[in-house]
Amino acid sequence: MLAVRGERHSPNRGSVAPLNAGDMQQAHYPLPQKLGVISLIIVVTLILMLPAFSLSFGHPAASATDQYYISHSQANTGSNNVVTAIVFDFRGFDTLGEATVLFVTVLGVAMLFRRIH
Amino acid sequence: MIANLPFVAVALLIGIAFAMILLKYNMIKMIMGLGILEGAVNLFLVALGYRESGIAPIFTNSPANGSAMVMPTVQALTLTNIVIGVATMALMLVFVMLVYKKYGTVDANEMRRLRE
Amino acid sequence: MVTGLIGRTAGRLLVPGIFIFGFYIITHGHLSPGGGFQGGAVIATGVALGLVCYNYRECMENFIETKNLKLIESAGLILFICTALAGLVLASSFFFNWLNASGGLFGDPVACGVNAGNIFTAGFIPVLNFAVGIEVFGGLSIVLLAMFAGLRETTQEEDEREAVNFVQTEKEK
Repeated sequence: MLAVRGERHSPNRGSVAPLNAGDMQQAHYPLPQKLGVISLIIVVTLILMLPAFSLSFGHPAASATDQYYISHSQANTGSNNVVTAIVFDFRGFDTLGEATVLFVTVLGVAMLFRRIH
Repeated sequence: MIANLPFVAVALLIGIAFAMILLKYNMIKMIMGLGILEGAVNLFLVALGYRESGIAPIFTNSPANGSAMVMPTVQALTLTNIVIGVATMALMLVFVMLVYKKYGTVDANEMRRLRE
Repeated sequence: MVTGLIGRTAGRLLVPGIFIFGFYIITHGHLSPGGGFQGGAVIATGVALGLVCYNYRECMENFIETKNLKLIESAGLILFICTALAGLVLASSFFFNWLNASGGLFGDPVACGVNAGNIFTAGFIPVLNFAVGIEVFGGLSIVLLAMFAGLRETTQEEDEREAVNFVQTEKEK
């Protein structure tokens, strides 16, 4: 069993007026706005259906980059795995940025938790 | 239509993810929506590079009859996307934990009410 | 909460296997599906299993410390950048594959086309795989440990008291 350490409710919570039904009604979206959001979501989904009818799964458009990577990766990098050759050699800068993002994220997590302790 | 089922699934998943992000008030559920959105984008990228009866782009002991390999670039981009997604999701979950510690709730409206 | 005997024994048996499997994925990243990121994530799941099977304090005392994990992560990123910089120094450009087909470590010539796979090929790609692998392992483990340390572990007495309270309230109903 795990419980969150410390006070479950913050001290200033007691000073706030208790939540009543009117506040709950006001806090959520009014109905027309909610309907607008739902219709927006439906429209976005229908727009995203366009690739389903324009593209054909299994028959991608010819790509010179992919052909170059497949036919030259063994000669240029010596790696049998083409994906690894792309990630670490052809697009090494991408991976460097990726590793840096991961490092900075972990730094941020460690820093945020240091304040609690 | 039925042959393009992965792209239909991508559209539906993105719709579900937007619905979760825009309509839910629980911040954990918003983050779950972002995770679904990330998964939909990954599925789109991988489905975009698939060739019919293609093999994985690896030469080690691959079938020798030389059938076409699937496209490797989108798979590399998917790998990048997964790692960045893990990093951002960890940071967001940590922020939610801090918010819960300060306000005692993860509901966005409740939190706004307590801030005033 | 103290995990029972079955959980602890299963963890003790499974965690080394998970570590070895992750290391295999990292080292064979240029020959088979996988690579640094995937192998590092697999090793981090081993750390997560250890955290589930044992409690946080036992993990900190017996297993590995957060400080050392931070060291591992920084070492991974530094190894990555230094390997890339060596291409600038020893050869023509940043990120040049200077170990490939040089005859040294990881420098065996590779047979073009379908082959059985030789682990000493691919130049500096295995080195970068290893660097990224230990970086991802350290980073994800630090995130897991930090999130776990934000939670308080209840003792056995508190668990039992909670159970007794639960039974009492159920009886009152």
